[in-house]
This record gives sequence, structure tokens and C-alpha cells, in this order.
Amino acid sequence: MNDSRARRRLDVITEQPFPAYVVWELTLACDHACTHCGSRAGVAREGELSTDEALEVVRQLAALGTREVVLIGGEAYLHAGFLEIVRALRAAGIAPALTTGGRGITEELAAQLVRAGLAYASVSVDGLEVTHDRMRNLRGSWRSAMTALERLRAAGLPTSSNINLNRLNHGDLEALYTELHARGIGSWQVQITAPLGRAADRPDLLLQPWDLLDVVPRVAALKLRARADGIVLTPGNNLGYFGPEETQLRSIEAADRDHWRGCQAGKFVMGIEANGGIKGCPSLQPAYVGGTTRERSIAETWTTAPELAFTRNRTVDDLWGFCRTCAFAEHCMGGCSFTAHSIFGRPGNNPYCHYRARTLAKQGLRERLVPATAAPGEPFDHGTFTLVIEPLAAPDAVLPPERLVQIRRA
Amino acid sequence: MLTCSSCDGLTPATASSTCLHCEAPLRRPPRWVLRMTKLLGPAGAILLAACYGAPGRYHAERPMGPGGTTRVDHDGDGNLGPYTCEQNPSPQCADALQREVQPPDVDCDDNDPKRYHGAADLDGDGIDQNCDGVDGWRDPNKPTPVATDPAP
Repeated sequence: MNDSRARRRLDVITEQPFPAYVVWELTLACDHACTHCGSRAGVAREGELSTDEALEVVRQLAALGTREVVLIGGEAYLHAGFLEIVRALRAAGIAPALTTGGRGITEELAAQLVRAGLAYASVSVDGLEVTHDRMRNLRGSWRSAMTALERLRAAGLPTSSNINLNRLNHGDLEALYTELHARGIGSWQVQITAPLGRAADRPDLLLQPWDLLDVVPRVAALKLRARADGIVLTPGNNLGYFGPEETQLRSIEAADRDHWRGCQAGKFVMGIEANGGIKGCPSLQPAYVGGTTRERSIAETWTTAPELAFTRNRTVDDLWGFCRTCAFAEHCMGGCSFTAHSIFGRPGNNPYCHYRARTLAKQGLRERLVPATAAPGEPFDHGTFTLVIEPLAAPDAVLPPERLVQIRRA
Repeated sequence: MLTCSSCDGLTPATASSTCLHCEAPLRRPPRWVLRMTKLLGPAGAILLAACYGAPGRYHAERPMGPGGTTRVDHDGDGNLGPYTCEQNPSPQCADALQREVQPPDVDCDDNDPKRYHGAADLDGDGIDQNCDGVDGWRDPNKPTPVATDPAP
């Protein structure tokens, strides 16, 4: 990873809000049907943007000063104008990147991506082979992802990887790092599976909040290992917060003292849905769409839509539950908004928090998420959960892998 | 934010006088340093940091133990060793040392600054940095899910 990209999050922190970093779902068409997919990708959305409309979006992003656009899906390469859009982003001075499951990355496509000016590609790998294939609901998926990493690297592209951590795959974490290191990745993003979309239908798959007592220190240890190997391990926005390892997790360099600074949705981050819907973060729920590119300009939506502005003037008074009383409240602001919303139907109280789990553990307690209402079955939808406080040593069923990915609606 | 010299965790400056993670005492920079940092901005902060160390990174107090015993941090990792009479080699101290129960937060390896309870433990390097008895963070009592069946 080059230095400017590694420091992307840091060097925008003092500026006025603008969509510096955009994640753009080009299409919901996908060649996978993953069990944890938040957008329930597979079939294209109704009314997805045409190539011409997408090129107009590129022009608007350039005018807004966007620095980097990550193309996602579904599978972005299934959009008819995919390569043209990559070229247009590069020509507009915006760094184009790709996040992919890798199944359709042929040697020819990898070479085309280099010629089109792609800055880097991140391949999603969710565990070792058996785990990944189960989670992605497709035998051979892991091999195609690994082959994609090799092809992209052989073509000359910097490669990254990303993982969605949950109860099915967290045991693979250290061994997977070894596999990815061997394939020459430059960075690795580790986030947790939030109960969005298909993951909301599979509550047994999700980590329980107290699992962070085990997972976060392991990720922190891997970060040290990765740093020694020249790999930048980046915690996803929904992994943390404010345990003893916080600065270790969030800092690029060992000497840095960076930490989580609250949800950046609508501040420096913007998401675009395949039909032109604009929201503050690509994983936010449909209620956060502030308008579409067909209705009005992106600039107008960015500056006027309240759905995008909810983090800009947030105060501790907007928090509730444990987060409202937390010592880190004004720095943290309740962690990741889409994750909290996917649990309780509104942000501001996030049980997926390392400090919170540690605080309760000191009292011999833990919080269990219990499904209350089911998700309706739309992209980025969610059900709701109730929180049960129980003894830290309370029994916890260890389910076999095939049970963890079973649909179990509330 | 103040950084704990014992566990490296952050604590908001206004939240507590002890670390929110390990309860080690936190030492704040002198008030005039904070005031000057606010007045002078980042350049002034760097200048002050060069003189006084990075803001927030101050060592924990070295408490005196019972009967004249002291606790010393031999390896400089911010974690104190057991009560000793190193700094008070008197019969009274030796007697107190014999009677006293050692505190629970003793540095598990006071000769190695990378080994202490709560340290990040690199899995696979053969070193038990966090002194939990195993290399890495895996809890031997906690089964981890291992997928064995082929995908559908």
C-alpha cells in the first residue's frame, strides 16, 4: 500500500465535510449468493444506472473533490460499463479501486484493469477454504478468490484483502493471514459481520458482543505481525472500540496514537447505490438514502439531505443505552452507525464494543443479542434484537458450522 | 486522551485519574503544559513534547509497599514487579516481605519489556507475550469453530 492511501483517513480529518472517499455499488448483479451478504446481492436492482448516467456521476464526483472511489457490487465487473467507468475515474483524477469476490477475474480482465488505471483491488476472503466456501455458499469460491489475488498481482496491481468476521470463521483468522501474506497482499481489512441483509436471517452466524474479548486482542496481535511483514491491517469501522489495543489497531505506524473518531458517514465518506441512491456510507440502511442522482445533483444531496448529515452535528445527547454514559462517548459517538442501526433500528448504542464488553466482564457480566423481529428481505435491511444481560460464565451453545449459516428468522 | 504507561490503553483526560482498562494510576502533564499546548497549537505541542515527552505518555507512580517494600519496574515496560526490599535492605523490610501477599498485577516477566499480562500476543512466534500460558490469544478452554463438512 502506498503511503498516501494508507493515510487516507488521517489527512482529511480537519477539513470541511466532502465526499473524499466514495464506495459505489455499480450493480447488485453478482456471481455469488453469500450467506452473510448485507445487500442480498445476486440479481440487479431495478433501474440501475446506465453507463452514460454513471459517467455523469464520475464528472460530479470529480467536481466535489472526491479522491478515491471503491467500486463494489454485487460484482462491479458485471456492469456493462465497468471498464469505461474505471477509465473515466482515472481520467478525472480520482483513484479507482475494486472490491470483488474474484470469481470472474480472468488474466485478461486483470490486464484490462491495469490498462484502465485501477489503483488497487481488494479480494474478499472469509476464511480458509472450507469455511469460505460455506459462507459464500459456493464450492470452489475460495480457490477462485486466491487465483484472483494471484492474477491481479501478476498483472501488476497492488492487492488487498478483506474479511467479515463471525462465529463461523474467526477461528481461521491467523491461518488465513498466513495464506494471504503468501499471496503478497499489501493491506487487509478486518470487520465484523453486522446483522444486515442475509446475515440478519442467520443470527447464529453473528458474533456475540463478548466474543470481542477474544477477537479484538487477536486482531491486534495480527496487526503487529502484519506490520512486521509490511502489510497494513486496517480494522473495519465496526471493529473496536477503545480497548487497551485501540491505538495499536487504528494506527498505521507503531509510534502513532490514532484512535476511532466516530462514524464518518456523510462527513468524508459517501455511498452510491446502483440505482443512484446517495447515502453517507455504503452499508447504511435504505432509510438513509438522501436522494438519487436522477432527482438532483450529488452536490445538492450532499449538502441539503438530512439523511446524510446525521453525523455532522451529532452530540453525546444523541446516544443512548450504555454508549450514552460511556467515558469515551464524545470521542466514539456510539461506534459504527449502520451496525448499531442493524441491531436496534437506530444508531447511538452499539453493543459490538470491546470497551463495553470489557467493562461488563469486570462485573462478571456480558450482553447477549437475542433476535426479536425478522428482517423483511430487502437489500441492507435488518431485523431487531433485544439485549439480555447474563453472567459472563453462562452456558453458550457451540453449534456446528452447518448450523451457523442456517436461516433462523425471529 | 491520556495513555496508560502500564497497558497502553487510552483514557479520556477528564474521565478518571486511573486507567479505565487496568486501573493503573495516570499521571497528567502539568496544567501549564496543557495550557501552552492549547495556546501554541501543534508546533508548540511538538516543542513541548521534545522537552517533556509526548503528552499523555507519563509513567505510573511507583508505589511504596507495606513495611518499606517497594515495587520496581526492571524492564521499563510500565508494569511493576513484585514487592522487594531492593531499596530498603533492612530486617524489618525483609520481615514485611515474608508476611505480605504479593499484589495480583505483578509483571509476569520483569526482565522482558515485551512480556506482561495484557500484552498483544503474536500467534505463532513461539513467545507467550501475554503470559496466559500459550503462544497467541487462543483460550484453550474455548472451542473455536472448525469447519469440516464440504460446502453445499
